[in-house]
Amino acid sequence: MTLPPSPTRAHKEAGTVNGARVFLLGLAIAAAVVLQGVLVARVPLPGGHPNLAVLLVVGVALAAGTTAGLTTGFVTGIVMDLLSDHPVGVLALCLALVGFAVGLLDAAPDRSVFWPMVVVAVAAAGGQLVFAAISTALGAGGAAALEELPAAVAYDVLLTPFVVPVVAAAERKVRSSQR
Amino acid sequence: MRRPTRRQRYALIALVVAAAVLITADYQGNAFRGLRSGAETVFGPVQRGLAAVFNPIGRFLGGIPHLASNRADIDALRKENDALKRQLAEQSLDAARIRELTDLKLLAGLGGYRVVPATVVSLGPSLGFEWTVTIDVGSVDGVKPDMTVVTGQGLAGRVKEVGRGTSVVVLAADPGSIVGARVAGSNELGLVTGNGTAQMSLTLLNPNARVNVGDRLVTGPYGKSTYVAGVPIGEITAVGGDTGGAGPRTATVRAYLDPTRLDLVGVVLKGPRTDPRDSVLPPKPTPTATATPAGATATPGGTPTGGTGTGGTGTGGTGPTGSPPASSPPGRTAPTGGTPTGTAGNG
Repeated sequence: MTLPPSPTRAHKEAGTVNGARVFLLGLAIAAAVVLQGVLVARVPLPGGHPNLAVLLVVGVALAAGTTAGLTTGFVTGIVMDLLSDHPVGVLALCLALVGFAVGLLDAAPDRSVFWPMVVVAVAAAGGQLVFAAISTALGAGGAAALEELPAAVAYDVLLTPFVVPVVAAAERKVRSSQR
Repeated sequence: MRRPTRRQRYALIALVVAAAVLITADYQGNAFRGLRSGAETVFGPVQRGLAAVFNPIGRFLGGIPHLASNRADIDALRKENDALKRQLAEQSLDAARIRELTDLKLLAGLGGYRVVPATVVSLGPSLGFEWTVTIDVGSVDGVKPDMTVVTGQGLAGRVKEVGRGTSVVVLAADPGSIVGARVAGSNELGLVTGNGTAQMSLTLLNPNARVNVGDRLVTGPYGKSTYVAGVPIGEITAVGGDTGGAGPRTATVRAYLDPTRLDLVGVVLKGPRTDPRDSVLPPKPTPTATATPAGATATPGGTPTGGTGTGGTGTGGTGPTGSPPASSPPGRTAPTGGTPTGTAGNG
């Protein structure tokens, strides 16, 4: 699924496919999926729960660009779909769209954490809306997803300073080690 | 905002189409059962392992918002626990009460006594020197001085003073109390004297009378005895030496009831028309002649029908064990109310 780097986006899409990157990304995806199920979803928070997958996808997309965001979103979504009850592909579609759209932005996560928080808020809300829309279309009921939306977005924004800069730093490190 | 390259656009379209295909396939035919179980196999152990680590943390974090209410919950549960414990204790108390009342009715029924049930409300002012108790029935209940007071086990004492709603009872264990007694079976007569918590002593009228350890005593028609006849007193535990007719023969008697553990008693308002003889005695452990139901005449003709005489009335020949009460025992209010609901009269 990963595509060769676009020559015009060399600064962003540098060194797209290599072992270290895929390994780290896979590790991050697995960690996000497992922690989401084991820890985040179990903490009884009022209103809803943060979504680590959205944070990861936004972080990767901001740091590494559209293709990386698209791929990470799709793969993360597929894994989460396989571990849940809804049809496989729903979360993959949502997160792939989120990764793609965020990757098009120019908000560099290295400088300030403010823009990433705004992006996370919009991305989380958008992803949740798409998920609710597909669930409703499939007759699985998207109302529950919408009920938790405000609280989930708020929690995602609160967690942004702890996730997005870490992802950006890892991306930077992988990129510099390649040179 | 940048424009996506053509390649990225194609990639997006490809993945969206792929996702749509996956959704359709899975929605229609659950096509990914194998993949799902595969993912479960890969992530399951990791999830379980991490859950063991994180669950306590999660529970702790989750408990923080509820700390105050948790404390309130604990308090409430503790209170409930105490209440339940108390209830349980009261219930066993009630059960004991019911048993006592049943015994009392049984005795009243066997002897043909008319009994008003009463509860001991206070012990005498100088318990130890003078063995008296105060009970919660008095003249309004028909209690008069010198009436016999019994429990389900046997003789308790006699009424000494009567107030309007309470009476003072001198226990048979009082050192000054002398009860005319008859040895069941042999019909030897004697006097039983109280000794406090120690065993009572029996002085036989006939110096040459033969009594044995284990012989049982009932109140007997001696002289102008104020006690109604036939109430069980106790068992002989030791017989004094033979004085050869020179002095009175003595024996020690273990009373059937413990004078320090009185709760529910009955005042015999009216004795039987004829002496119930030995019929009221508890069945003897060793089979002897004294167990014969002499009380076939105990409840003559007039089978006690008054009141709620359910306590095995009219079954003088069967013995106490053979006739459990037919009706359910009264509730806890019955004995304390002092009302003559428990009478088993033969009049």
